[in-house]
Amino acid sequence: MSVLILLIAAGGTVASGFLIAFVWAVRSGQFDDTCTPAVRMLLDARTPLDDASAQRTTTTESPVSTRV
Amino acid sequence: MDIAATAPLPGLVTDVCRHCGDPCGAGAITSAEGDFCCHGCETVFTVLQRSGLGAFYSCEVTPGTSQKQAGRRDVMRFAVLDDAAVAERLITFNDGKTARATFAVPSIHCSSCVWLLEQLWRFDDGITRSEVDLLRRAVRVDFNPTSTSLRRIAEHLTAVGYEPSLSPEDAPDRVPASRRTLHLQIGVAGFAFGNIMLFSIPRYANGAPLDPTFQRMFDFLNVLLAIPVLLFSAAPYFRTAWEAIRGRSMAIEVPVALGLAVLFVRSLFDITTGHSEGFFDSFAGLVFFLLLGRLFQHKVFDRIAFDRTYRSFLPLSVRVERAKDVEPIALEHVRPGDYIQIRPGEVVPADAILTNATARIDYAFVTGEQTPVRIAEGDIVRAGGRAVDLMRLRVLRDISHSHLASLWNNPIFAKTKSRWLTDVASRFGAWFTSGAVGLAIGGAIAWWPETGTAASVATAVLIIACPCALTLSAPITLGTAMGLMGTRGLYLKHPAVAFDLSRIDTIAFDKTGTLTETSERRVIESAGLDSHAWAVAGELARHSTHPVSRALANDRHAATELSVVRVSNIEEAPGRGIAGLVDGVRVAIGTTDFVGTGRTSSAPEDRTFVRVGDETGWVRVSSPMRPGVETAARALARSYDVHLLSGDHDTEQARWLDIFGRRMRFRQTPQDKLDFISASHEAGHHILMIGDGLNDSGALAAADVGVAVSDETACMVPACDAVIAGERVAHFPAFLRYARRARTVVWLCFIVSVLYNVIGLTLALRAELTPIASAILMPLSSLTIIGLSWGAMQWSARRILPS
Amino acid sequence: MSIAVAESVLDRTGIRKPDPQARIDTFHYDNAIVRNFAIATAGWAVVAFLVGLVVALKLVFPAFLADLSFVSYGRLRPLHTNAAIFAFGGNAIFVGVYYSLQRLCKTRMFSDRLSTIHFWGWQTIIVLAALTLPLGFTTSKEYAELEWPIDVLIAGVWIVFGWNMLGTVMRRRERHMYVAIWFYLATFVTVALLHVVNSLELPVSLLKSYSMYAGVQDALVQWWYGHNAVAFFLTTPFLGAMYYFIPKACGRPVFSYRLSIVHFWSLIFLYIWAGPHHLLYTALPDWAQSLGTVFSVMLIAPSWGGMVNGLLTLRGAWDRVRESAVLKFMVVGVTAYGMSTFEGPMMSLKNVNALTHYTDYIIGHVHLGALAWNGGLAFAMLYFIIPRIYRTELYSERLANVHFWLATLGILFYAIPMYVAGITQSLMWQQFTPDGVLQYPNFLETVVRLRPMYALRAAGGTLFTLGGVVAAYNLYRTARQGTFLAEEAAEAPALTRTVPTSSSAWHRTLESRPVQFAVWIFVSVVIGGIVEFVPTALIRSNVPTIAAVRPYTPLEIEGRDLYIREGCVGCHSQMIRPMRAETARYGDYSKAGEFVYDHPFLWGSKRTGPDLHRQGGKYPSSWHFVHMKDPGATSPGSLMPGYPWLYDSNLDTSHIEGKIITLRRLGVPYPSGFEQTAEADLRAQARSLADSLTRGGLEANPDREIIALIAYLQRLGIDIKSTPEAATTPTANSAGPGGH
Repeated sequence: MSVLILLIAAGGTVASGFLIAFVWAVRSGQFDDTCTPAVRMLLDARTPLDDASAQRTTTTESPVSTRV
Repeated sequence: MDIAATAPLPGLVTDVCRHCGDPCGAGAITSAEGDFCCHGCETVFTVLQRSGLGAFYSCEVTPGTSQKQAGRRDVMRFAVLDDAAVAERLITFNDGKTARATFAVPSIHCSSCVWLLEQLWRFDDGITRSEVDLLRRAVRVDFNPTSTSLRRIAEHLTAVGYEPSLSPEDAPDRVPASRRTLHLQIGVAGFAFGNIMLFSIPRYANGAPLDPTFQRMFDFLNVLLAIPVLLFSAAPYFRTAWEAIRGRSMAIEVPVALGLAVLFVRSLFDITTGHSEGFFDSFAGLVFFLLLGRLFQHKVFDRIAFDRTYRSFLPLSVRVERAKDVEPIALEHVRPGDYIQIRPGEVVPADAILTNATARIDYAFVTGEQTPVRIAEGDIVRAGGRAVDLMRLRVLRDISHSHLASLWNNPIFAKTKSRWLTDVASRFGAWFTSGAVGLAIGGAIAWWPETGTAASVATAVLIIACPCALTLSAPITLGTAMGLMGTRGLYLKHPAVAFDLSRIDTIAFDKTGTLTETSERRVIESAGLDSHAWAVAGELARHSTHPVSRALANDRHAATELSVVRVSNIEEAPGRGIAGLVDGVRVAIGTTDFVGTGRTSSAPEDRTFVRVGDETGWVRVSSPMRPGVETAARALARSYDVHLLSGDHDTEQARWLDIFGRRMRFRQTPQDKLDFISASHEAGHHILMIGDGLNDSGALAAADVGVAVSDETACMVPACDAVIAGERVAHFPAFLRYARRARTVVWLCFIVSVLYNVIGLTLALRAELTPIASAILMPLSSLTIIGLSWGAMQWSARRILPS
Repeated sequence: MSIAVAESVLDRTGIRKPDPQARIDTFHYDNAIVRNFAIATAGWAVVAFLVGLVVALKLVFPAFLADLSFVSYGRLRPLHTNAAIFAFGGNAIFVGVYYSLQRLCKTRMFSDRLSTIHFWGWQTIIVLAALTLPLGFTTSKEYAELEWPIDVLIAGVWIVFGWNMLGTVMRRRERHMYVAIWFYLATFVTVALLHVVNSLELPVSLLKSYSMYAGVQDALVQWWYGHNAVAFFLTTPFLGAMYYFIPKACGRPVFSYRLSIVHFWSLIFLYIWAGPHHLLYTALPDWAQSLGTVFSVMLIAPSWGGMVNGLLTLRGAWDRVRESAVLKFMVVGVTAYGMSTFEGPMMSLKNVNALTHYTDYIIGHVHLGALAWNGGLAFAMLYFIIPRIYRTELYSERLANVHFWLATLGILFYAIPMYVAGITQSLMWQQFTPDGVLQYPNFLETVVRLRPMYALRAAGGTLFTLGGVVAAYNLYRTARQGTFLAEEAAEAPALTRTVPTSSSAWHRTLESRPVQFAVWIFVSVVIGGIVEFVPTALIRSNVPTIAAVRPYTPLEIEGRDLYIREGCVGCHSQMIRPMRAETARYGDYSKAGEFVYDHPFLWGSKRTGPDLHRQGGKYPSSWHFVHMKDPGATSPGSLMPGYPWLYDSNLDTSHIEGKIITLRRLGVPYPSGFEQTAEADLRAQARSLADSLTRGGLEANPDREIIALIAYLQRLGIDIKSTPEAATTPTANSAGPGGH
């Protein structure tokens, strides 16, 4: 079953790659704020919730409620 | 916490502010775009429309926050930002070309805020980008210091209706590097744990034994994976343990660190000798779970801290000059630029500038120095100063609750009370730790011949032993209790007070201002003076916080405007009266002998005598009962030994008879009250005194727990342990019950953890616990304790406390 | 607030133009590439569905489109799977990525040229697949059937995609990388690796190659790939899309962003190891099997983390779900994701697996995932994106709803019959009479029982396909009524990298050193492992552990390649599991040592027909000769199509020399020089087989392909019965079908 070594090697390399990515992400503060990004992605430069409103006829819709 | 934006209005309702949604009352502006409650809101609206950000209003109907206060504020208040020292607080990075500052903007609440504030660059070429942190309510601004300034940015923020707060304790907490490190340590441990399991499962998987090539490779990889766990993830435990040992003290990390070390070394040994595959899976697992527990613990403490600093308030209010008259405003609503009146004995809540000619102030709270200093118009009065004379001030900075609280916590006021809980905990911690280590060694010796078992017994004991209940349950339970009480109008000095509250058996009530309403007091009968004389008396009364004086000051006679009045030589004799010179005329208000009517004291008891020059008159003042206190007092009387201590005459005795029975004392001087309290304290009772902050301060200090009732006063009593909002007095029984609940929870945690340790250690010593089992059990127990104490208090708060 | 300041603000903002000094960039999102991939998605969707429908119908009416080699079941099945996964699924992924990535990074795609290359490259691959597979050019490894030149092309195009994506991420104007981006990156990295490792093969000719690995090893690699293809091609990119499009569509932030982050990291750290659960009870070592099981079960946690997060995002927005087709498809998709990610781990428990493996249950399972989860999200994305880039409303919500219901019903009509069929058949296989013999010894009985189910499945497939057509029409009309906005303007402040994050140097060293140290060691060890150990080990482990097992003769090699060409592996397994029901039915269970010369392995994953591993010598060659022409003749009611063309076309022996050499390179012990005599050997064996058939009164031409196929079938699984001393490497004179 020596091919297992190949697989473990391959898997291991990817895994370590991800580990490095994880270290980078945490240290560069990617995960410091785990609240705003979820809201920010909703807001387009033109209008807040433009995308959601494009589907709707009225603009007066319930505001984005944000869990904190 | 939920900062959900306010529910939307159906379409555009007229006479509701287009910007902030407040009803448009007097001074409303109607324009093409809609109605506005104030100029501030209209300006913001126009600014946004003009800068192409009108879409701000398409997310919610009225996403803004009211600008009513704004108009009254001082244009120059951001000048402080040009001062390097202040700027230093906000700027996190500056290399001359780019700088980054973080503003606290309390009014951030919804996604529109994020959308708007992240486009600040539209307002100022100098701003390169801005990022909002919704959770911490902060805006991080990158800007070019050569083309714009902090002050400018602050003004822009204000211009769009998001005024930054400059007060230090609003400063958003930067994510501490330690927290990031913790996340990393968890990630690494988790990664290693998962992969070590991967290489260990083949062993557990029953079936054909692994061929040696793989076994060797897997073992090797396991060692490799375990190294960063040891060196990096487990580092905090080893560091604390090492410091503890160096410092000859015993930290609870010591057994854990020892356990980890033993586990690692032994596994390494087993593998190198090829004697077994070792316990690296348990090792990594233990570290992983421990760190998870630690993270959870952090989150709980953060939450407690948040409740304390952001959601609970000293229930004090201060008299603020509004358009028409002077109204008491809760501290947290006072803003820079407001004009406030501080009466003798009250504390100045925020840095402010004196606007009347001269006054005396003492900084007992700040420095402990009791002797007053004289200050003149334009001088700056620091927060925490206690007024000796009436003063009119203009507020410079935002009110800082935590600053006031810290002043209040000034050690010179600290009572020497039994903080035995904490002492016990710490002493027990040390004892426990050394005990655990001892047991481990003992167990190892007992099993000696079989080294394998001996090692695993020692390991298991070290790992399983967990004193977390002692170290965690008390702070978390009491801390949570304190925070939650604070949000509901009873503000404790520090967590231990919650515990003291639970041990109370006797309660002494002050009547006036506690059981009875002060603000509602009215003059119901008066005689002997003409209206001018009443007005003069009123001027003097204004300088006292005593209920009667306040009633007098607010009375219609006193309302008649006098021309310039100068009041001087004021002297107040607590419990007796106040005297002074009003435009040179001697005025005295108080008891017969204090005023010196020369009459025999055969006159009805409930009269307060007023002497202006040579004429003497008297008033009778109503004392309406606070709504609900009667029932509250009755409830307390059932389970506590309740007393009534009143400075007034006993004419109202009948009213209280059925509650307090014979345990009522009238005509009590402050000294009498103090004596009574100390006596009962000496007698071994745990007595709680609840009363008016100023007149009863002595008694409050002497009591095991002194609770000051605060109405429309900004007075903070050094020696009291808690402040309760006047309208909350009726709920006092609930608070006491909640405090008792807190105590029960602490004990419960103790029992749970004792049981856990006894069982765990027994099993460990009998070598019936595999390292992996203990690796799972130990963190589990801490999590249980944390969850139990925090959850129980949250739950009980919802059940017991008034919302 | 000072009106003065407000005024000053008004003045500047009133006239403010974004000027070069202030680092505000104006740029355009590239919608053209998004549209192209969208069109491709819709188009290939219909194709994939139609091919699937044809395949389904063939199982109901075996005569349907029979006698045409290039549309025979065996050749269309891989075309269907490839079209569904890589043409429909692939393009759907790229639609999602190219639309969301630009907006999440607040930047245009890194390079328009790369985008174009990616698009046309990918479509080329699909077309090539659509040409080669029906012509029988296949490696027979599931979801990796394409031959080596196309594999190379795939690798190239994939790199282009990754390069373009990474470039975009590097140039982003948003400091934070939204969780979706992480999912996309993980997809790129892992799929690249999987594809390369699994496609390691040695070419014989332009369109023929042999897998580097043999037998068990090949099987393990294949299913490590097969499983992770599902994980990282059909799951992570769609999860990323879910995290972008659900919040966008319902205007609510994701339920818990923290959860989404935890969900991502735990998912990628677990998924990669679950592969072996496709090989339970096979010749794979026990411990490797248990490994697969354990990790598969652990996968429930992160998978459900994602599902819960997706569904709870919609809490309080259910009213909008009712009115928006986009959200409807999302909800069904995410729910189905939850169901199949629960089903999967359950099926990787050994006892459950014993029941479901090789049956239609698996088909039901994968289609629940593919149709509901991937299909649902794909169509949701299309319904979301097309109206937006065409600046209009969806042409008809009603048609979208029609599509939704057609699809949902289609899925139900598909999945439920398959589950029933799977369990029915499995139970019948394992049914013993009281006196201990198989209740249904004839495999055919268990097949005939399933035909109504197959009919229902075809009906379900028809509904789903109809839905696809409706969707295509609806989207087309939407595009028609709108005006396409190729360049969507946007502006954002540039991202300044200069500002460092505040964390003390002491911490940084503490953080970095041990971790990175360890990681690098790990990587180097791992790579060292590959370089040093694997190649030799691979060869070494090809030395037979069973002395009796010998390499195939040249004729058998050709026969085996025909078996591969015709896709027999799609319906016939060659792996008898160690269970009474199987050994009683097929004979002695399969041993790892028997496959050491199988490049590639042909274990198969589905038994529409019986297992063939012990086929050799079971029936006389004449039986096969008759059977292959018209299966009905020997086995009435069989679903198997006939293979008349095998009787007309001559066997192409031109590559036999190269094949021998290639196989020897891969460790098959053919004596040197054997390649020269190989052809003669082949002819000799063919002649003697043909003669034996003619003697039986059948006119058999030794040059026809059928002879080779029969030779191979007759060789299957007989070595182990033969006596060790007979086990000599084949030479020119030792020929004869299974003549030992």
